[in-house]
Amino acid sequence: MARTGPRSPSLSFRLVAGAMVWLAVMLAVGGFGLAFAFRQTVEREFSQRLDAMLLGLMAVIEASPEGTIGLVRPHGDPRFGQVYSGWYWQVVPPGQEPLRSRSLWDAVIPGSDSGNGLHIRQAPGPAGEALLVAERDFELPGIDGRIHALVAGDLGEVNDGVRHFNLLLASSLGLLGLGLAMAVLIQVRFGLKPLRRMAQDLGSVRDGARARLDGRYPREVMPLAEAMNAVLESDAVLIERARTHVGNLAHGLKTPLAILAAEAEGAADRKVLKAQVRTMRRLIDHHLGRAAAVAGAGRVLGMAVPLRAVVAGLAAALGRIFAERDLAFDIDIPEDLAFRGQREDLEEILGNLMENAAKWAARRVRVSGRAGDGGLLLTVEDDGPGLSPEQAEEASRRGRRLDEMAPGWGLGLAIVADLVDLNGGSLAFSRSELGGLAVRVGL
Amino acid sequence: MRVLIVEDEPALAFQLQRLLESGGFAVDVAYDGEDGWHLGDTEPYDAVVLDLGLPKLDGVSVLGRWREAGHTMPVLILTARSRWSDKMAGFNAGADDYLTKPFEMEEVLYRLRALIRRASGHAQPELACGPLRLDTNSGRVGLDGVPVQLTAQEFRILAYLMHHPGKVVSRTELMEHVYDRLFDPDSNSLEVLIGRLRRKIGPERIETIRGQGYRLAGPEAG
Repeated sequence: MARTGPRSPSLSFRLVAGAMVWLAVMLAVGGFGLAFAFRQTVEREFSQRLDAMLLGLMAVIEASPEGTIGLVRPHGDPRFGQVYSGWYWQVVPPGQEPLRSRSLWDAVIPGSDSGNGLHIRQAPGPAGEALLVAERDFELPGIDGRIHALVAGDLGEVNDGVRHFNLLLASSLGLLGLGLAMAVLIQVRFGLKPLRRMAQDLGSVRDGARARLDGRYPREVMPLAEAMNAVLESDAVLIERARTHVGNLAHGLKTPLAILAAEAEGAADRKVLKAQVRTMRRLIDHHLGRAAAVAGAGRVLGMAVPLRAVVAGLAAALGRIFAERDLAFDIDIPEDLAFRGQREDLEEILGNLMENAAKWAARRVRVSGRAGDGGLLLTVEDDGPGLSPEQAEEASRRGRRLDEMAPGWGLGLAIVADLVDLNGGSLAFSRSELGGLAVRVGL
Repeated sequence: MRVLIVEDEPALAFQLQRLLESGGFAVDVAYDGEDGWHLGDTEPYDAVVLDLGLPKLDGVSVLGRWREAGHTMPVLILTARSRWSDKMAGFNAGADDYLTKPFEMEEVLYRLRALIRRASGHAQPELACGPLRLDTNSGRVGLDGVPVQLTAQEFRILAYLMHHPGKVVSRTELMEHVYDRLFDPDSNSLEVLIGRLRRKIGPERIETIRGQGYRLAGPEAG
């Protein structure tokens, strides 16, 4: 079968791609969130440490009787003794030289007005490093004005920790993503397996290896398999019928062709020619006409066709065709009765039956319908001459035997018999209470 | 009586035209849907033979447009499709009768005559007007039981008048229904034809109503 237009991406691709995009987004959001929270925590902890150091520094500051300040004992942490180590402290009394850690050498970290209490900020260090600065103002007895004290630590330590954490985080999230992706792939492969199997089965139907989809499929796709099977089966019936008709037609055409050929050799007799042409036309009508009428018939995926509307439409058309006969069409069908199947089938069945009835009727044609068990019961009657019981029996029998039917029998009724059969219905002929023929159709 | 044939197969169109002309009709032919629609929309036909499978505009659409425009002339549809669902499409569009191909040529003539007769309100195939008889099935005319030989044009005039007995038919109306589109009559020819017709069926049968037209007279007319 030729495909038209671009191929739609496969189901697997849709499922996998969808899951992947969603996974990537969620993992990225989660990763960034975690990294942010971690950095916050680490920075808070770092500033708390700086503050503890600052408070420790402030505790060892004392004022001399001369009004200068000094340390009771040196600050313990050795990093304050290494020049430009990234760890600094500094105390600035009002109007005096500041005291500072040895690590600061003679550099100064510019103070800022911290107001009351702890103030945390970032500032560049003497060696160009990024520092986190904790500073407080306080007063000492014997010193006029406020003393500014600060402790600064190297943010590089924080950054290193955060970077390390982020690396760890990224690799574990990556691993998690990989694992989830594998799970999705396995799930999709496993979940879509029945569909793949169905496609393979269809392939083997096409190759002729099997006649129908007879595998076991999950509940969700079973209706699809059943619908496919129904199509396959009705196709098989139609093909068989078409083959029979073609065979009979080919066979039937040989005789008139032989006569025509012989006739063409000598002086052609127009009467013979005409008769043979008529025979050939009748054969073609009978075999090809019927094959065409039933093509595509059957209950496959049909819709609900309102019965009354179809009958009324046909009655109007037949009323026009037989206008001078002044026929009365009685329609006795409940408004809500519907035929489940193809409208063309119903129109063909009823059209042929009603036309036949109208042909034979004296004045009246009656079409009645009601719901039977599991289907419809339709009756088409007329007040014409009708059939004798033997003729009715013959008609019923022939309606079922396609192969033996001679082309002389009414083409319309033969088509009706074929269509009723293809729709799984029944057909019976009897005498109507109107006096003529009654044809009963179960559909 | 004047009819339109809309048929795209030239051989079939020609056969139909020959058949209908020999049956006493003035015939116009259109070979596609648009032409056919236009002719049917502008000329006063007594009936149309319409093929359903047509180039440019399909038969069902042509018919639907005519009916929408209010044209009520009877239409006989020809179709190669014999399914009722196809026929119903034609009838729903406003067809009056149908024939499936292949058909017997005489059947077309028979159906067309019946359609025209019905359209002018006659139930019986034989139209009578005083001693005049027109058998619409065979196209034969009799006067007091004696067959009358008429030329094609004389027949068309008489047939049109007999389908509308007692009605005053104007010159224009008569000419429109007696001549096909390509025929170019000189102004006197209708009077000449009426004169010849009067000689064959009796001068008092066709009255001239001055300034209005002609009327078929007879005791049973009307």
